[in-house]
Amino acid sequence: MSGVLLETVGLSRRFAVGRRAAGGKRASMLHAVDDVNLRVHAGESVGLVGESGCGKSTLVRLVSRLLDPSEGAIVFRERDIGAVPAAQFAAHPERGKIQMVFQDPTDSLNPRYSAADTIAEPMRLLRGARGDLAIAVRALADAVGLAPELLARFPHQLSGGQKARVGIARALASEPDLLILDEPTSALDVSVQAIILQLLARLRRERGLAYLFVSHDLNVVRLLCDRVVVMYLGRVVESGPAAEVFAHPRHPYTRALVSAIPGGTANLAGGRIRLSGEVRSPIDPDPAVCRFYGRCMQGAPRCGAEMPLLREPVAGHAVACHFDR
Amino acid sequence: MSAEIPLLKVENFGLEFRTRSGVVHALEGLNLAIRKGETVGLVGESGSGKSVLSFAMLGISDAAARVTGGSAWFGGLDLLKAGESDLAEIRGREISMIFQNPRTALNPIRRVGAQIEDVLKRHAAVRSADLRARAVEALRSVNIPDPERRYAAYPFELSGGMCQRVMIALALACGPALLIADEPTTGLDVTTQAGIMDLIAERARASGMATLFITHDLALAAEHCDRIIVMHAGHIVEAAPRRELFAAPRHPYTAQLIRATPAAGSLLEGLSAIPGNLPDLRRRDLPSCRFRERCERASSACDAPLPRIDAEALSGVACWHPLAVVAEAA
Amino acid sequence: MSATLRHIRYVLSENLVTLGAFALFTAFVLLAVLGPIVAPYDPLATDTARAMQPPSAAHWFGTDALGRDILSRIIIATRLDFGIAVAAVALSFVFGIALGLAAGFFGGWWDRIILRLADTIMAFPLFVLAMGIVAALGNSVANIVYATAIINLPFYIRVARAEANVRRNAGFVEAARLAGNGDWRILSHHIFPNILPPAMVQVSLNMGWAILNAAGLSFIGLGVRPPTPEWGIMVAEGATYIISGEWWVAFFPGMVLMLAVFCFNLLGDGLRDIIDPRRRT
Repeated sequence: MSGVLLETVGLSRRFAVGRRAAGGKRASMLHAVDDVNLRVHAGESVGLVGESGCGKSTLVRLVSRLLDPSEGAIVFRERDIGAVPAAQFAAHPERGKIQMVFQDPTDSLNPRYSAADTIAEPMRLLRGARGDLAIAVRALADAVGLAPELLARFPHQLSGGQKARVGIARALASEPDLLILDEPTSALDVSVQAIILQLLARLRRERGLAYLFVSHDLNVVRLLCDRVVVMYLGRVVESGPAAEVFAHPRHPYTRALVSAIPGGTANLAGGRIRLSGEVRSPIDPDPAVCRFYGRCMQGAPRCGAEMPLLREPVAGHAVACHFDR
Repeated sequence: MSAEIPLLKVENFGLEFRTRSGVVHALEGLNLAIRKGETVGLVGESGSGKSVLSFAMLGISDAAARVTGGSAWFGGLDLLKAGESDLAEIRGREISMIFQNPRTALNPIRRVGAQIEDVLKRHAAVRSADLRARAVEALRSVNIPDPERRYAAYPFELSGGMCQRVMIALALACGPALLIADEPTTGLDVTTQAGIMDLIAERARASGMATLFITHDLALAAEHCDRIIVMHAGHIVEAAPRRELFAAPRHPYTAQLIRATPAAGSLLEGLSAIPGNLPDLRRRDLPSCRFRERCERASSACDAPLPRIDAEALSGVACWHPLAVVAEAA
Repeated sequence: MSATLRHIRYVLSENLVTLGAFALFTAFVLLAVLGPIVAPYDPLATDTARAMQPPSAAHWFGTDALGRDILSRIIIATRLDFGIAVAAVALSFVFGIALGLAAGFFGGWWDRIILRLADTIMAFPLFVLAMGIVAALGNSVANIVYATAIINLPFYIRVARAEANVRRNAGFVEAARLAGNGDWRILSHHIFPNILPPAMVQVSLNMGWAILNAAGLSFIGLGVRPPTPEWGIMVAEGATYIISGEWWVAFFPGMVLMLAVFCFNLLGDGLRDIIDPRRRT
């Protein structure tokens, strides 16, 4: 495998919630992302899965430099970009190299920009392109399968699939090395989803892109990703080769997740697992308690007294659970 | 089974919307029946009319909507012709509905317990002394942990999955004969989704309730439904028992939909998108088969009026060139 | 471009009220531009022999106490009244939108300070505040414009702030950041064009208020001074004669004033339909 493109070291993000207590007490903190070490190699496709509120959106916004970390480093192409404030990152030379495709193709397009304007903007701002960009825009539209006559249209005149293509073309316009895909097909119909997924796979092959692919649809992650990282309440609980994680999940949460895939129960030993109990609060969590304790079918007193750390029992397949040997 | 009178029988149902830009022929010639205790999946992509159909069954539709014909018999009542007072009587007591996005369906400024009590008072004639106990019981029955405490919670204090459980408790409070579940788990996490689907199935089994489960997710319908009805552009294109549908889809659209859905064993190369778009339902020259312009099997025979699926048949296909049963199953 | 025209025609044909408002607005604009050409008499020419004549074929709206033709005075006044309103609204639009955008987008201290400013203005009865400003700055047309602009400022601040606040977190703003836009460019190129529709509705409503405000100030003797023809002054001059039966002196300028305000209020919704591309089909 080629070199490391992106690495986060002890990355954390906390948000203050509620009002500061009158006694001058520290405000409560929501631990959205907690001590995450993530690595993406050049040309690799990494899936990031977990339930809503697990911090995957926050992590993605930290990595794409829309949000500033509370702690930790974000090393991209051997430069620490985590220290550059998000508000100033627009002018950073690495800005164009990390791009993102958003979840909602409608919300992420400016309703007053035509498709061509949307695609041309990063070319102008990030690659310093000047003058008439019609040819470059057309070439990019062609690469993502957007018919040239659609370029003059505004978002409300485009279908969901067409809007998704505009979003992908915009992300590619600055020639990134890392493309973050935040649930890029969850707003699309199945009939369109397949073709967008294939387009993404082809673009990665052709352009040597690395993907950080966020999704709650594990069937989709399995199709598109080499490696998968499972998050639970702000922490990584398991990571490893996608095929391996889906076939032999090691963490109890991953097992529950895999067994909940519609139509996926059959090939998992142990049958379906249903979680009960409540999700622990992410606000000021006890650092000595496993975040999954209380919902976990294996939970034991030790889980309430000691946070399991991420270990690598098998090379390349890491898991954070006391019960994994 | 066919001798039994179905719980709900919809025949030749059509509905259109009058809009500024023309008449939208939203639903046309729908035939379907739901039997007691059966779970029927209504599957289609956005714009297929599946939600319009479900709302119409409850007599809830847009001011611009107009029923163009047909009947929907539920018990002794035609839901399409029933007056508002009859419908109000049936809604909640006989037919209940749960929606996508439970948080918006709950009243944000009333405690969830009080909202359940409202329904009990109105439809189940529960004495006020028993209300609280019954409401807590209803919360417990949908596996909400610590129901005594949740009784006093406001919707915003609950997670999306919890809200959907409260919605289910509300919908099932009066023991309806039919539950219409319109994308009940869209927007929820997979683990939560599995729990909600299990809960609906479990409650349906326990009370003999029939479920009409509306979804865009074929894989989810495959896991939870006895029978599946596939809609495309306001038509029912195919109906079949679950195993039959997946083993040998007969309508070209169904076959393509199955091929487009990522499933446990599929490969990326094996997925295929469905070419073309839904036809514009405002068109005056809509072809009799609305899939025709996207279909690889279309021929001049398709100009003839579409063969309809008999409402009470267990399976059927609305196509002049259906895929062969044997060839596909082999 | 032709698509835009088609759309305008579509909106107007669908909505007769808007069409009427547009027609009225066009008529007012024509009168403002062509005033001296179309006015039948000199608005300042006094003729005591013809004083206080009721409406007739020669003087459609009658004459006032000095024998001036009321119709001509109303026509000539259009330019002044509209001029004051347009200038005032333009000023409050520019400053109000800029302040509101900054408040809504940056939040924090920007928001607190700008919002306090708006609240402070709103805390006064607006007309009294305008009176105070004109009295303090001096009795001139320019000062009426400033006073009217200041009292309208909070409305623009609030519209822009609310819209910017919502859109600050929209996907397309995050996407614009990724595309290399800095804060200022996001504000000017991405958020501003999207708050234009609600702002235009505000502009239209404000034009009505601004005209009423300018006329009101003149009515109580601030701002425009006689013998300059101005609707507010004309109503004020005519008011004394209503009791004695010479109703037309106050009635016609009052009527035109009402029509102008009415016209702008109706225009608002029509404008929104035209400007918002999502309504274009």
